[in-house]
Amino acid sequence: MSRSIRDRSGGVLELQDAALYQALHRMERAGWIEAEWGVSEKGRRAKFYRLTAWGEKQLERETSFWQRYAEAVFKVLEPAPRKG
Amino acid sequence: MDGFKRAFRLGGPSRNDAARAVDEELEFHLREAVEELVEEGWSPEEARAEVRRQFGDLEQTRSYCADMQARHGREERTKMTMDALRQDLTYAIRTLRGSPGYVGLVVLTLAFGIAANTTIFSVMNPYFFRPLPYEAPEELVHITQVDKVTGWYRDRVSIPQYEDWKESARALEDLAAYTYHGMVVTGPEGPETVNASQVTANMFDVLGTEALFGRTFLPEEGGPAGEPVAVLDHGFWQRRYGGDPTILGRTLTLDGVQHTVVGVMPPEFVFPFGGVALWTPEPGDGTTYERDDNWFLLVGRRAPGRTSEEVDAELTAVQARLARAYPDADGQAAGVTVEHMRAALNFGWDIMKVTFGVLLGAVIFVLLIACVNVASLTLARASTRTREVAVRAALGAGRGRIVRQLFTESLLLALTGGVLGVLLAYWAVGLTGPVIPEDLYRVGDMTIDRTVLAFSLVVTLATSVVFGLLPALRATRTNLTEDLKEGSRGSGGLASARGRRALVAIQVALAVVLITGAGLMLRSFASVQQIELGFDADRVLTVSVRPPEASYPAEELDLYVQEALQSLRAVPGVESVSATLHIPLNHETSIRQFASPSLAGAPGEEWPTAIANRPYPGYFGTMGISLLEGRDFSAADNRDAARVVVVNEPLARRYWPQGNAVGSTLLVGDPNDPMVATVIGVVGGVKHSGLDASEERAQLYLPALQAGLRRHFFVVRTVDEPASLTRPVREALLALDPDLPAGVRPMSAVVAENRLQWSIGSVSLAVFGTGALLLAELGVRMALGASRREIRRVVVSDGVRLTAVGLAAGLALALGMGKVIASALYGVTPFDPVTLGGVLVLFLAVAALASFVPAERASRTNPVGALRGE
Repeated sequence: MSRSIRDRSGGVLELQDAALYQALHRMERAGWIEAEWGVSEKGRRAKFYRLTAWGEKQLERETSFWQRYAEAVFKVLEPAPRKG
Repeated sequence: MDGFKRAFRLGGPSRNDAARAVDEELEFHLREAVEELVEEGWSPEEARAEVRRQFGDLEQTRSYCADMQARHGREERTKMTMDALRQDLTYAIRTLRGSPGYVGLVVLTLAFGIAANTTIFSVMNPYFFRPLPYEAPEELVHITQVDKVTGWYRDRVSIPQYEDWKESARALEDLAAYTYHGMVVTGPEGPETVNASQVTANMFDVLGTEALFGRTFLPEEGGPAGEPVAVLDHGFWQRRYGGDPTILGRTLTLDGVQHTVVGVMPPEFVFPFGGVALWTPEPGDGTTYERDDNWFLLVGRRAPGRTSEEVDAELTAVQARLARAYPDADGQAAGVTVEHMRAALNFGWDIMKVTFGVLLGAVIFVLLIACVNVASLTLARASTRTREVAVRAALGAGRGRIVRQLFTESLLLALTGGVLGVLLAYWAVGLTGPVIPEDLYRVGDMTIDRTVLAFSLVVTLATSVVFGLLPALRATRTNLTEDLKEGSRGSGGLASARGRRALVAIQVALAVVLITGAGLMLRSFASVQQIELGFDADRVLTVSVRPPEASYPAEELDLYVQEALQSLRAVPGVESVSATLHIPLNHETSIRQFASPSLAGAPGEEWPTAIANRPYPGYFGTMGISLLEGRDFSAADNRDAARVVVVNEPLARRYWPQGNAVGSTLLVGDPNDPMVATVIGVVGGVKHSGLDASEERAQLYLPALQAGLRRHFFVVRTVDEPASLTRPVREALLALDPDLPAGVRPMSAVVAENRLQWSIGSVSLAVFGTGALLLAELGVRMALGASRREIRRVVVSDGVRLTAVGLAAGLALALGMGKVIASALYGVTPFDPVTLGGVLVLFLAVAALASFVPAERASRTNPVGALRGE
């Protein structure tokens, strides 16, 4: 998962595993994701995380918030048109 | 404990489980990462170190994640429990809906049991159980003396005697005296007669009660030098003065004398009985009163560590010493009476104690019956549910789950019954309250008693829950296949059937005891109704008046009475009027000694006593008292005329057996200085001091016109129903003096009050008994329901046999308890054959009926259909 984040951000975002696990468990407690023990591709017992319906809603909400936030930051950073 | 945990808490990770799961997850992650690096060519040691470096703080992550997991688990558990509870409730409601008959019966039984207990205890509470509204009330004693002549044990004490007792009693910390009488309050709020109590200034200190606001009396306010002040009762202040906060310092006119209000007592304070509106300091002391002015009652507080017996012994010695010093005053008493405050202050204590003792016993029986009934109903249902439970168990429902399900069901039923019972109790207490006379001593209002309510709720809930859980225990203990088979037969196991039959027999026995009690009470009530009163209470109004001394000096009293009698006679619908000192059965009795001249020289103790009254002319005719010989008093029998007396028939018969009473001489009053009167008439005996008074009690009447009465009763015989004349009568008197209050009461109400103990007893017991009878009938029917397929003869004889066992046990129990109830009965013994025979017939009839119905059904059932129905 941390690899996927690193790759998709072009190596800019690097997440420590410790932070990732803490975030996962926090989200599980909040009911955004649910975990299930299963068997990995290599035949080992592994834990799989999946978004819940509530989590998907939360994701949408957070995403739109982040987009608005980011746009706002961009607008602030763009050089303001000077008035004569 | 583990089983319980499993039953009531659903699975979910505990804190340890959570930590273990997190460890496992992180271990898996680390192992995978190391393996990846090793595959890329790292050495295992280096790979392990690199992975740990990349991961960050492992320990912190581990504990953080474990904590999150544990919290998550807890929330999850709560949610699941709520879900399960909702599911249980829904299921319970659905199941119960399926058997409305069972639900209705259990709920009604529970409600009946809870309501009966709560009502009786709540009614009794202010009279018997609630603590007296005084400081350390157990230290208080009520003190009176014994009258040598009449034997009356609550004879009053004079102020000079009180002062000597107070001086010499070491076992008492302090002693106070009180008396009470009606007083007229006048002012812009209108005239009103109230009960007022005159107390020595230390009374409130002895009782240990302070004023709500203002103050009680100062030591200097007592005695002849004291200013006229008053302390008000909270209820009176609220009612008459609208709770006016500026009342302190205001004056109010009592019997024409201005009194300054110095305080208002707290709402719970009551002394010496309910309805006393105000207290004033006693204006007399040892110098103003004679030694034989016995008008006072005493309240003492025991010194620390001293017992009532010590107080009694000490005062008895003091009284004996004073009796030698003052043979004419103290010598007239034969000792002292030391009592508990509660018993002494309640006029109706003896009667109430007996009546409520019986009712208390009755409601305990009702509660037992309710429990037995719920138990047998639930058991009967349990046997039919055994199969359902077995099926659910077979389908995989855990034992805990089934127990919880049945528990929910029972609890739901019990709570519904409880709520209904509480509502019923509120209703019944509201009905009972107004029936009990207001001036009986009680502490606080008649409200639902929470302790008893809780007690009855717990007992009935426990019964229904315990018996409700039985099928679950059976289902988990016995062999499932057995239960599946047995349930299909539609009857409980043999053992449970036997248990149910035992319960039914017990129920019948308990009901028999109650019904016997109800029967005896009803018979007593009937006997009481038939008592010859010696007067005719129908169509008579009584009017109590007390013209105050300030507006009516003694010489003007007769004039007022004559005018009042004239106005009353003029009211349309009035047949005749008169007046007297005491009306019968009003708990006011004056006793006089008397003697025929032959006894004249005999010692005073040997003179017999009679109940004395002072009527105006026409009293006997108006009251319907029969004049047997001679004549009634006339207007000519006044102060200037010769002294005359009318005696009752038992007195005349005893002293003039030849029938020559009229014209003879009778000595009346103080044996040392008797009044010599001529007997002018003989009248029939009257029940005066109580309904159970002896027929043979000697009574004598002296003319009111030769005395002058301050307080008296007008008696008014009406042509029709007296109720319609209440207002015209009161208005006629108010027209004469708007400042003189008049209390109008039908004589029939006075009589009814005397029958109260039997009417309350018989109504309550009849209600409880009928309830019990219906439940018992039901019990028999339920017990027989199991044997539907048997033939009629067998079923009926079975039901009758079951009832007979209960009946025999119940009658034995009722006979055994006969002594307990005897004192509450009148004119009937506890072994009354009519009552016992009636109960026997009643129960056999009920048993036959209860058995006949299922038997009818059983015999009409087509056996093939019955088999198919299964």
